Amino acid sequence: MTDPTQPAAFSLAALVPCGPASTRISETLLSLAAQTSPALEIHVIVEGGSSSELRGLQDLVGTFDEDFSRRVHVAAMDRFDSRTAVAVGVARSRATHVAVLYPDDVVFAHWSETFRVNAARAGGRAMASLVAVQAVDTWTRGDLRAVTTIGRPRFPDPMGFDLMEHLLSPPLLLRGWALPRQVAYRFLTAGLPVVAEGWALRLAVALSCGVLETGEVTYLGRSSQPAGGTPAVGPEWESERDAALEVLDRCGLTLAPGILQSMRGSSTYATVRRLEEELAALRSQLQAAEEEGRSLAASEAAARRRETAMVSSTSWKAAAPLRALGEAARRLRQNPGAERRP
Amino acid sequence: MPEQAAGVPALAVHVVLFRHSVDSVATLLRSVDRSVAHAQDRRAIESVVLLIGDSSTRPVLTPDQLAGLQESLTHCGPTSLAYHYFDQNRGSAGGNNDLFRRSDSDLVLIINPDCYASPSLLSRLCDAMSDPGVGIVEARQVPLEHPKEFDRRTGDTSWASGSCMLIRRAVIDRIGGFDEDSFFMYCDDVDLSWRARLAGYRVVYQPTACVFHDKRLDPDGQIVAGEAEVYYSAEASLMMAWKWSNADLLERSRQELLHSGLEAHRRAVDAFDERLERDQLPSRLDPEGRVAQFVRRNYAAHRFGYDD
Repeated sequence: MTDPTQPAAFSLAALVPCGPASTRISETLLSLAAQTSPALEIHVIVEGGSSSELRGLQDLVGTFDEDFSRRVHVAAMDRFDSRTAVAVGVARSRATHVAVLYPDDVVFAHWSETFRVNAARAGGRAMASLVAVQAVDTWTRGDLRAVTTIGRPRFPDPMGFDLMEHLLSPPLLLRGWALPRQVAYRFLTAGLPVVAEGWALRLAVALSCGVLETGEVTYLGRSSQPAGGTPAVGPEWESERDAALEVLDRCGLTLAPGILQSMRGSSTYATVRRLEEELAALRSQLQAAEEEGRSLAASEAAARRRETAMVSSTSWKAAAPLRALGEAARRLRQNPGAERRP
Repeated sequence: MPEQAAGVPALAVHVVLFRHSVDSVATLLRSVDRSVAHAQDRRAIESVVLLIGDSSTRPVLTPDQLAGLQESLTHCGPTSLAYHYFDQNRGSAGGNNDLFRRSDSDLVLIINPDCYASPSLLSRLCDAMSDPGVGIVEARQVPLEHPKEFDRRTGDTSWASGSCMLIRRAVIDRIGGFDEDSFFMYCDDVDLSWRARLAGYRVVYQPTACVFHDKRLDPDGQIVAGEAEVYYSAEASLMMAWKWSNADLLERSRQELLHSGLEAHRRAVDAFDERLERDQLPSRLDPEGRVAQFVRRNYAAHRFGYDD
């Protein structure tokens, strides 16, 4: 039996799902080759493409030093395989944790080291590092592809994991996370839809085993869209997300009763855009309520002013007998024997 | 006008250490070995020597470790690697000047110990050297690319970063090496680039030649800087304004550093003032501003700032 006080030895696999164009992962591989903690396995999973393109990728890997290239495994997706590239990578890896890198993205030199040094503290939890995103311009110089950064790095993704924030988030990728492989495998083999895969896997892993935030910036996403731009969220995302939630439901993911149903059935919280519309409506309702409240407060203040006026000056004299009776009653309460004195 | 070197050029690779780990040196050398193989396959370079200079207080490499590194160079071969312990901290400028004297190669690659060369780095840097008017070629740094502007058509840029640059030997012969008396650690590369441009050479950026440079971001998105970096970059900023004849900037920088509240800045101003008093500052260059570019706090126009 496993001793829970002794965490299993940590090992990390980097999964790089990509299309056949090897140029988009050359810098991703470069950043993996330059890791300060280099003991990691790398799986490049190629979706589509011809055998010559696959050979091109293998040749690219072969140009790196042997110490690195022998740890890189290039595999082509079978065109009849219904799994996603991430699911294939998780199935192929043998590490305790898996992390996904997307084409054109790069990691800082301490990316794998950060996960390694935090592994004991994380126990069986997933680990999340901060992800910076930098806008780039891609262009060609001669027959070569060039990438030029055009803006400073930003931090558009939510920090850490917050359930409600996550449920309301648009599609999220797995950037910056190291997932316990067995947990990821359990959900991926159930068949998560590709568009919602990252979003659903984050949710599933976070709720299944928790997340440790490392606080380090270790991942640089590079986007040809302005950094921080919100991905388009449309009907496709909603249906994919609903499908992903059904898969998680089938897997027995423990959520508070009604959360998934409310997500599925709700027409108001289905997307961030709709949430923003509802927030705007709530804000206007709040404004109306505040105005009504101010009006009521003004009316109450006026009533108090009238009451004060009534008990002042002339009315004060009219009320003198009543005040005398009241005063007598107060004294009687304080000194019950006084009235019986001769 | 610069003359074109005949035939396939010989290359020297300079690495100046300062308390770096043996593992990081080994990783760098493995990557350079592969990049040399790639470049030699394409006949971009011929022979290669790898020169490691060590400015640390104690040698980073023992003889056994050096032998291990030499054996790991499967392409360049064990005899290509030489190690020189300086027994004093000569900074990057002084260290590279020392190494310049230890070879007569046509080209010199200067690369930081915290870098990792991409396989195609050398061949693509050499591509840009096919124009004899080009004196210095700068690689593109990954993950944090330097934000200074460059001409996308020609690659021309204001200056080249010494983190990873390829220099034509003729440039060094013509203008001398780095100004190690004025620039210990920072801006030695800007100064070298501007002197090369004053001598008529082009300085170009090669965006397809990638080198990984271990730079990191803090959670505010700013590049992490150490205490030494704060001091030496302040000292270098004063020296640049002085040497490249920008009196207004010099006085403005001086005042800003004095009032920044940082002890390192105050010490840098004191050191500069002392040299001024002792008449130990370098001769002033480029009074007409032909090559020197002072744009905000930078030595070139920038596409963006990491601290914006």
